Amino acid sequence: MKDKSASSVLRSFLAVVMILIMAFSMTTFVFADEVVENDATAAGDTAAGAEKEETSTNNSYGPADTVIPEGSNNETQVSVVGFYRSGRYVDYYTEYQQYDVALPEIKVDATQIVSATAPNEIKASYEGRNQVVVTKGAGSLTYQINVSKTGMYAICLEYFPLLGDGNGKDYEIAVMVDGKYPHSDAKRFSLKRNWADEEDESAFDSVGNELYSKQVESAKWMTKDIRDPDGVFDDAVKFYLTEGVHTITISVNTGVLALDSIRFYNDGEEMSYADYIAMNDSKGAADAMEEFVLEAETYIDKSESLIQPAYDRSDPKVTPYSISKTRLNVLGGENWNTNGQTVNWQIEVPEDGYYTIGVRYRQSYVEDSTSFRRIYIDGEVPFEEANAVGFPFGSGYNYKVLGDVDENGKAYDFKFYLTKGQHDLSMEVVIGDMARVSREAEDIVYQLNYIYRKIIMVTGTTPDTYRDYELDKKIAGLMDMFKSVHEDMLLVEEEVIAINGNLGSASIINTLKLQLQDFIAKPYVIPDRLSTFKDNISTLSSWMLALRNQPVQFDKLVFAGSGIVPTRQVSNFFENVSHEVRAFISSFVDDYTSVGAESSTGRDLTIWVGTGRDQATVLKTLTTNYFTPETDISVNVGLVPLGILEKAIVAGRGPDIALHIGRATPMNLGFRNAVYDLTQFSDFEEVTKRFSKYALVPYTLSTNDDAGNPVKKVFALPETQDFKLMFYRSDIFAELGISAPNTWDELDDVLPYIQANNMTVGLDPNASGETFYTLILQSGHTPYREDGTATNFTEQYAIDAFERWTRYYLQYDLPTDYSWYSRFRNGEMPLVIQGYSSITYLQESAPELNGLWKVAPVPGILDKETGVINRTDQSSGMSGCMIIERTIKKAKNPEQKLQDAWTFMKWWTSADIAADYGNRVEMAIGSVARYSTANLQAFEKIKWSSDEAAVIKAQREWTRETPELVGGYYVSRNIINAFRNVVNNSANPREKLFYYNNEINDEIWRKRSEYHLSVPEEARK
Amino acid sequence: MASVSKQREIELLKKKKLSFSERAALTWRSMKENKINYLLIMPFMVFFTLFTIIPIAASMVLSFTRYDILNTPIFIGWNNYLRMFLEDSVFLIALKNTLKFAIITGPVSYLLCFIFAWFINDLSPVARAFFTVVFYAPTLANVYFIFQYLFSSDMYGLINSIMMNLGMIDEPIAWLKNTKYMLNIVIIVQLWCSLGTSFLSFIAGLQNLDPSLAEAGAIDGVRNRFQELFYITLPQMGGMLMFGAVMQISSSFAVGGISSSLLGNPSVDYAGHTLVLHISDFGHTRFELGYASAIAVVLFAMMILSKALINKLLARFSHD
Repeated sequence: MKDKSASSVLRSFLAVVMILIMAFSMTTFVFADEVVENDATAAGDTAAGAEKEETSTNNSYGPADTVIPEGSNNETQVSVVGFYRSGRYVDYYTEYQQYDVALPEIKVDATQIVSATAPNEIKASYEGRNQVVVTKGAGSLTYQINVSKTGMYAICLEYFPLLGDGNGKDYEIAVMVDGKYPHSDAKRFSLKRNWADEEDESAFDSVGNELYSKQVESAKWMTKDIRDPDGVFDDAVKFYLTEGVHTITISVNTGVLALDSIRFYNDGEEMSYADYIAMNDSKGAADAMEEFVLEAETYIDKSESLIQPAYDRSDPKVTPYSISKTRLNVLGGENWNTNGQTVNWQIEVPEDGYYTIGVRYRQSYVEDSTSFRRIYIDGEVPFEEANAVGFPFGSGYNYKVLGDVDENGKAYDFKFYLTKGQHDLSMEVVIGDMARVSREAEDIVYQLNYIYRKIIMVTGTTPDTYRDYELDKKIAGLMDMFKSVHEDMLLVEEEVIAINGNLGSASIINTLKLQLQDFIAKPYVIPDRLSTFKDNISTLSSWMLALRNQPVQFDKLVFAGSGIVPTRQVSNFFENVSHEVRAFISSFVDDYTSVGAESSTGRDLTIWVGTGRDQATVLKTLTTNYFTPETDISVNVGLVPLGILEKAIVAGRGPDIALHIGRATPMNLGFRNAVYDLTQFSDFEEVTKRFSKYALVPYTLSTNDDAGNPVKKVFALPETQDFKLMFYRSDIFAELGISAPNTWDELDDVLPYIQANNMTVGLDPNASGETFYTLILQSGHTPYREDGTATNFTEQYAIDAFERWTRYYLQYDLPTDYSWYSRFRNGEMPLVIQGYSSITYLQESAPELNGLWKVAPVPGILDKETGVINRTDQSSGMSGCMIIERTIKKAKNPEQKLQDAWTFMKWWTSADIAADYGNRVEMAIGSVARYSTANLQAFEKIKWSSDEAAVIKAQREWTRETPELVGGYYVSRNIINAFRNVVNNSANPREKLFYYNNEINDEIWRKRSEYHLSVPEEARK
Repeated sequence: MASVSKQREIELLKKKKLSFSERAALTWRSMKENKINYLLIMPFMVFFTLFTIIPIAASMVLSFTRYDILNTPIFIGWNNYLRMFLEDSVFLIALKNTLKFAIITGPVSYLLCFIFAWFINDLSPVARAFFTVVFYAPTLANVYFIFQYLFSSDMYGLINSIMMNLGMIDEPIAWLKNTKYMLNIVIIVQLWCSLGTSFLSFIAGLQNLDPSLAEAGAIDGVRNRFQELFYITLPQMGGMLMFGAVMQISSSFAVGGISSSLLGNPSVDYAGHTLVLHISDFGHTRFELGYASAIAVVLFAMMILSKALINKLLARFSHD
């Protein structure tokens, strides 16, 4: 590599000299003949690097039509097909838009099944309805309908979520018309379940803090339209049905439900607010004179267990109010932010008449943005304007009377006509005014990324700025693509200004627009500005994402008769001051840390969590609400950086149990006798069945007991387990005409196609050589000896694996350091191998890629005899929990405490609690923090879609854990050293591996003998 | 005053040859005499003893043991020291790197501190305050993380991408992972953030110079700033120079933070390994506190030696 860079420096120096000569000779016509020669060499030299690539491109590793031929006179034919996407709902809707008019309703009884793949049972009466179908597993139900008028029909389902499957996830629904999916989005609809608090009454702990109620599924008959999954359409999704007989197939892919009816309808235009008032006026409606208040946290039920009451004592007017105690007094917040999440309340109206609805809310989460809700009264949206009512940004609590702005820009309040008696009120998250903009922006981001990819296929990611690539000629249709995107951007800009009055946070649109204008006028500047172009694309894309985030927190809703002036709901200056002063004083008096249920027997456990505040809070909530009431053991949760764990143990101030500890810690503390060996519990074997077969391997120490018999000790239980999956861009792979590799050999085959187009593959070498281990495991061997007393790196298979691994960085020149996310997103790296938790990360942060990437198990090695591809994967991360024996021993009643600690560990790793914890953490931090639980049953309850779950489970079958060795810290550092020596200095792989392997084994044996653990024969020499 | 005469008496007694018990009695008497002084230094001494003297003593004791934090230390005599010098090849790398650091960054940063302080001293008070903050900020805020981005091995890392744009290299260099560059980069960063306490003390020293001496020098024929510096300024700053040198050079033995945050600990092939990192590797990662203490004792000895050396070198500027 040294020579390489030296020669390149030399080359560029030569190039500069040549250019100088050129410049000089331009001014002196005397040597005109020589000039030509010089010129040619200079050009050849400067472009040397690029030309190399051109030759390789022309050598054409790939199918001719996918690689861009360069340097020829033939104009290139690049397909622009991928640029315009088709087959999505938006395309489908645009095509049949003119049929979206009022139509006669068709109602189908759910029992009239024509054919079904889902096991089902027809019940004459069920939960208060007659003639319903109850599904017993995943599959489809097909119905026949007779359409009397051609048009676009919305589908409305009347269903009853069954608790039987118990995983509590939203239903995944797919709809086929005449046996075909009408558009690609028809495969990914979802239906919500219904959740409620278990306890209606508030419960308090011994200190007087209010406790959270347990969340339970509360089944009821629900009537829901099928809506688009991203919420970028205001209306229900509509299906184009021509006159005549059609079959409709509805597949329920997760969970089971009872279905009463399916309604196909189109009511045409919704009633406007003016008509609504006129209609009610004509019925003789008058202003009401009463006022009543609905506390937001006293809802009936909701679509998500995650939307929960919370406490807020930052404002003097929040009700119920307490200066220092926990009172669950608000609802929602950052958890009530995604399209489709609904909360239902019930109100008791004192008299007939018009009411305004005022909401005390806080939307201090997303700056300069308005969060929208759709209002339902008695299950219906009363008028069109109630489809999206905005709650604008503001610090602290604000009061807003639901209303809108008329054509003249004047704000007015909605008056809702309510009759005396009970009514239902629901609010659903919608994207609102910006739905259309968000949809269009997503298209723009996709298309810009497409263009970017096309450009780097020609120029590479670091273009030579002194070269004119003639991109407009080399990429067919480039200018047309730019123009088309530019036009779309103008439209979006106009729309944003129409909605907000100015561009505000969307100023990136303007920046990009100007950049595109430049690109169109002067295509030769593109290579020079490629990196800012890329940055602008990602800025635009994050802006688009922010549009979909609609958080708002409610304190209470005030229904005021429109004839009276409602009570003031916003605190004034004096109230604020008095509140702050009292809160400050009470902060000296009240102990905020002592949350919690106390044990009546005085049994307690101290538990340390090393991850984060949110995790600790969730743990605290779970223990006070479930563990202590069930077991009568109180729990102190400490948020402590676990680096001090050893010191705390020595000082005698350690915890009884430590959670979320790194993979290597249990072993390190275990063979030093600080951690309790869990195999001593009689029901240990029983508990291990919760985890995959290999999950305990890293915490297991093999040695000989005093009598010389081999024994195994286990020091911790796993909490999470993460392993790698292969992520690839299906769009790019299709474009290149290659398929996703199943084996490493196949990867070697497709790599040239990818690299010939200036893209590459992400195989991270820094994570302590996981690829190396994976390759060893896939060859059917193990990296360490069975008993963990030495490595196997001197065996031929390990050398082969090491050579193969380093070859990727030497021969294929894969980058050793990169940001996988941004490169995967813009397509520079269409294939990366990453931990499975990255799935949610991509979904959340790159929605423009939805449907354009796939996950698959990691590449494997084909066993030629059996034909099976061994896809074994080395688990990449794991956290566990362990009992600190040292601390327990010092307790008053060590036996009792040990049993209590074990009770806690069992409770903590149990399926229900692991899943509940995972879902709560996800609620607190977002789906990016999805919990990769090690409990197999709990995994089913984590919100993975069925496809994702299938891939993850398939890979988990193959996942093996390698033991943590005594002295294991020496392994990873020496593998990295060997790797770097080979890759940086082109050292001999075998030699380096042997050399560093000796270092590793010496350390392992030294450590093992120090603690009187068994060592192999050769170590005793 | 009576106490003064008593002190003199004590001093006289000290010069005589006394038995141990007599001497102890004498010490006790002198302590009683000066109890106010002892009281005054007590707060400092308590903390100094607790957090400096005892730990040093403890690590000297521990350096003769095998101690894994969790279990009782086992006495093993000189074994740790034998292992350090005879078996531990990484120790020698760390020692080499530490010396390299000390020899390069110590004196260079010392000179830089002085030169910058001297320059800044000539500015107007407002500008002086401003530049003092600017130069001192890197030390305060530990902002060297920016170098992680500058030297990122990613092709989008700043230096890599600039060099690739200029055509100097055609593939990214793993600056922080390639043994050829690692130590040099850390030395550069170390120099960049080394304008620490001694820089401040130089500024303070320069402010407190007696201007009349400079005037007298001008009258007596000082021809340029350098003459003024060498013949008037420096001789007045003996204390500050001494303090700065001790701080700067002995602290350059204790480098490690920058290396571990830029290169990781351990760094590839231990190319950025220093004694401090070796200590933390053994102490934190490998749970060998006894051995770590032995290294610490060696490092301590090196610092003491370097201090003695500085004393000798700077003796001519010192008033004592």
